[in-house]
Amino acid sequence: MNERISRLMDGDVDAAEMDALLSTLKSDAALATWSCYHTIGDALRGEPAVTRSVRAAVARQLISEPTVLAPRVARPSGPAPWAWAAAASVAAVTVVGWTAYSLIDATPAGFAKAGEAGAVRAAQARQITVPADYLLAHQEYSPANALQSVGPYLRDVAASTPLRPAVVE
Amino acid sequence: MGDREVDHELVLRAQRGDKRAFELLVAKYQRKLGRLLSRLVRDPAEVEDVTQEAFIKAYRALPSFRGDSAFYTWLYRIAINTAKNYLVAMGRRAPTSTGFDHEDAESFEDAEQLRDSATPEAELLGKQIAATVNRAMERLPDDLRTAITLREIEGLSYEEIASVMNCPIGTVRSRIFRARESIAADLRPLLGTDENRRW
Repeated sequence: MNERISRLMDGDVDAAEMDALLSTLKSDAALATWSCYHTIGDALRGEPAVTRSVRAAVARQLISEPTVLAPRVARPSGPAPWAWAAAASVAAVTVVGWTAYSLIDATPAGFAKAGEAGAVRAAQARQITVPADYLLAHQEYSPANALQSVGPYLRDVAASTPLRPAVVE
Repeated sequence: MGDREVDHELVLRAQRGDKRAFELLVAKYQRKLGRLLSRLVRDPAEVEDVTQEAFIKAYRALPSFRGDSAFYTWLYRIAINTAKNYLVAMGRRAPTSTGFDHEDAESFEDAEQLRDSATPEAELLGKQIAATVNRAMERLPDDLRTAITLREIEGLSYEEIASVMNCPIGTVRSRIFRARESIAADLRPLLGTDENRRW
């Protein structure tokens, strides 16, 4: 029993064991051991003695005190707020990561296709000679032309401006 | 599970009407609280009266304790207010500050004031206890003395002590218990078992 009291003092018990142990601490012998062990610890830390037992005096006074029956404190049963925040962060990272990963074809077949595509582009990069009159006729469809969409509707126009006579002084 | 959890469980039991659980807390903290109050109330007899009153006030206020802070921090605040009210009632001016914050209440190390103001009887008892414990410590084998020193003075956990002493936790557990029992064997005759005795 005393060995368990020693462990209890040091917090070396789990919740279930502590519950059972505290229930057995009602005997005077157990309380005396508890007090004695704490006295040893206080003495080693240099805590001075009291001239009479405050505990005994308090115990006598507690007899006449109405028994405290406090409503049980409703402790939050769910995870702490920081746990929710951490879980949300992990979930967000997982979703984003999984989405990005799913867009990448990382299979061997995918790598082979990517290699073929590179080879095709390299093969198509050879010089092609296009007749100049063809390019001229289709210039309005060129992607580089900013007016591509309205090109077919444009007409070249010319306007003659009368020359102003030179002023001779 | 740590010291704070043990206190919290004792408080929960006291809140459910278990007065013995509150006695365990009183036994644990009576010297620490007395040392604290000696900074406010100089007379040793008055220190014990105020300490006792502070514990009773804490017992009555147990329904309001929700466990947001450590029990001793909560008890500390009650004790300080009790001491100040006592001094005001006695027509003495309460100090505006105890010289330390409640955050320091767990760890401050200044017993000189209480030693200086102790009655001859308390001083004698304190010296007897200290001498008994010191003699018992000197007789302990090195491994037991080291284990209980690391626990009680340095405040290390069992895991930390096992790491320092390079031994299993079970060995640490056994050494600390054997050390306590060895010292207690010398101390018990001094303390006695009579509730009306000094302890």
